[in-house]
Amino acid sequence: MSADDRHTLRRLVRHRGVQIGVAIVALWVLLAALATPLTGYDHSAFDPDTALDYQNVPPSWWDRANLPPDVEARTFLAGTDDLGHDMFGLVLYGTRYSLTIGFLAVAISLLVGIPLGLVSGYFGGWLDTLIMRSIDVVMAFPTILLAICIVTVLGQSLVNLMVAVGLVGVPGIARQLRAEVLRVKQLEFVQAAQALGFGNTRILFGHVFPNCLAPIIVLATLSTATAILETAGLGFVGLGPEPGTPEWGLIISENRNLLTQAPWAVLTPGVAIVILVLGFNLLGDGLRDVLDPRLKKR
Amino acid sequence: MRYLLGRLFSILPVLLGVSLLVFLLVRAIPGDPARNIAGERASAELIEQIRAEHGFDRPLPVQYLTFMGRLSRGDFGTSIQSRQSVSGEIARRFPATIELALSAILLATLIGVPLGIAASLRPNSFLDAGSMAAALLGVSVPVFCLGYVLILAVGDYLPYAGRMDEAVLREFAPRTSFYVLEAALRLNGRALFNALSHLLLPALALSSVPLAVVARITRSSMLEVLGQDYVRTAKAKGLSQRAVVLKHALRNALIPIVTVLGIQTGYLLGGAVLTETVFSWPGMGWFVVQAIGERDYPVIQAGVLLFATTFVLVNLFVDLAYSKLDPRVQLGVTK
Repeated sequence: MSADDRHTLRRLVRHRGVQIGVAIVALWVLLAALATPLTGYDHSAFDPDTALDYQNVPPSWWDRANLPPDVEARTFLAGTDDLGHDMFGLVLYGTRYSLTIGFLAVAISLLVGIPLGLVSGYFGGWLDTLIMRSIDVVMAFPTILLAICIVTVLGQSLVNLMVAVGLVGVPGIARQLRAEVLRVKQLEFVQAAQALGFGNTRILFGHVFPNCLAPIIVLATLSTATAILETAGLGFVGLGPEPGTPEWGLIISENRNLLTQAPWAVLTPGVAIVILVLGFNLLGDGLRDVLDPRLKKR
Repeated sequence: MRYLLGRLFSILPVLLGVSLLVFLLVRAIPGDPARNIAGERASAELIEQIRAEHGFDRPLPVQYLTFMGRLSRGDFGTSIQSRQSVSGEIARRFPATIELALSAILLATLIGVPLGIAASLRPNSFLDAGSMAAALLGVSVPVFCLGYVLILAVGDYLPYAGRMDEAVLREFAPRTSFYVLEAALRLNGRALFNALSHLLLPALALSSVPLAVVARITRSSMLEVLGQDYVRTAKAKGLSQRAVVLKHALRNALIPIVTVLGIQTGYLLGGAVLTETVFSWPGMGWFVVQAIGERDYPVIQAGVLLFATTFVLVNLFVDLAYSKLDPRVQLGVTK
């Protein structure tokens, strides 16, 4: 590790936004992993019959007058919905979906977007024109609508949800990387490598790509936040996982009739989305401040 | 003028690409629209007949050319579900989405720009930190969650479903679907007030992300400009704070703000899909989502194409606005 890297690392560790962001994301990962022991609620063993006694129970900190004594005896940190699901437990299980889908969707965006951006920026010419014009076309679609179309075409499933959210993120990655490659390939060390007769693959992956990483790391982090929001949006319009799955957007959509009767059943997953997305946004903004000051404007 | 024509010409391939992509995506959706219309137990002959009627039996390139040919005459086809002309459905619903999106962008600008300016004038102050924290929260909230929070908070006082109360609507008898605009032009105070009150909550929910983004970009763009020499000169010659900020700094900070506003329209049109669902807003977004569920090809094609065209045109406008905002930007001059 060079002195430069150590300096960057030190600035990262000291950045307030990065600290809070990492703390939030780490906390959610932990909560998702420990959902069962933490809540004493096993979603896979949920029994609708016994749960019916606990319909729409307010959270333990809510006004709980007029509850039957046996219901009042049980504490529900975030209340229950009309089927008797413990909202806190349900939302923690939902974290597993949001985090997994978020990470894997961004992985798909990177997997497709990075080669496109590299080739487009480095080789230029008709290939560049073709790729960039295609990206213009895709970017003209509102993202959520495009994602809806893709899920509908591929068929509704968890994997296709990830693919849709991932593909929608490709243009952003490809464009950003192309701009970086255009900058880096003008630099002397790339020209030196070319003069030494290195092959294109070696220059591209050994010299150009490593110097384009910073903005891609920033964008990937911010894209995770967007991916989680888009996943929730697709779940909300009924194109996410099948009904009954504890996915946050789907929970909100399934409980929206309870809004006045049991607002906690709608608000708990909502708050969960906000906190997790906020965590990734804080982390992404912080990374940008430290790694790539030129990007600060955007 | 020549530049304008050139730019208009340059968006044509993009729009052609969009139309082709939409056409192919829609055809790739599994499920047979003819069977959807005919019902589960329809005879094979009936399904064949429906297929021929709608042209689904012809080869794909022929279908695409027919679609484009009709499109060039402004004919979007007939909805498979409602059997109404799609153009009519669009004329009824697109204005609802336009009113919603425009109000949201208006709210975002009217609140976001002053907020960003205020934050930039006192960097690292309480106001700055507070508004930037709020902006970060704004981009982290899904619009549908915010919609429900708004309904919970003020739903007792403000309407949160539809565009106008039944009784008012019957009395108003609008001739267009631009309710707010028409009520204002006809000087119908009651209808205008009713339409605006229905618009407020969905527009607020939809404006959260653009508002946050506009506030952030205004702050950073202003900070950059405020540090420049000519701003110091303006201050040194004793101009009032107001003149320095509004005339000298803001004008030069506008380009990134306008760019972001253009990009945000894309988000707004997409966000409208979700917002319209929450607030039962009878606009295009909701309509297209329903059409996807029903495999209503002509409606999906027309709807998505309309959204994409709007986005491309808005961004063309943004490009054209650059030269107005900054005379140094000479349109059509390439290095």
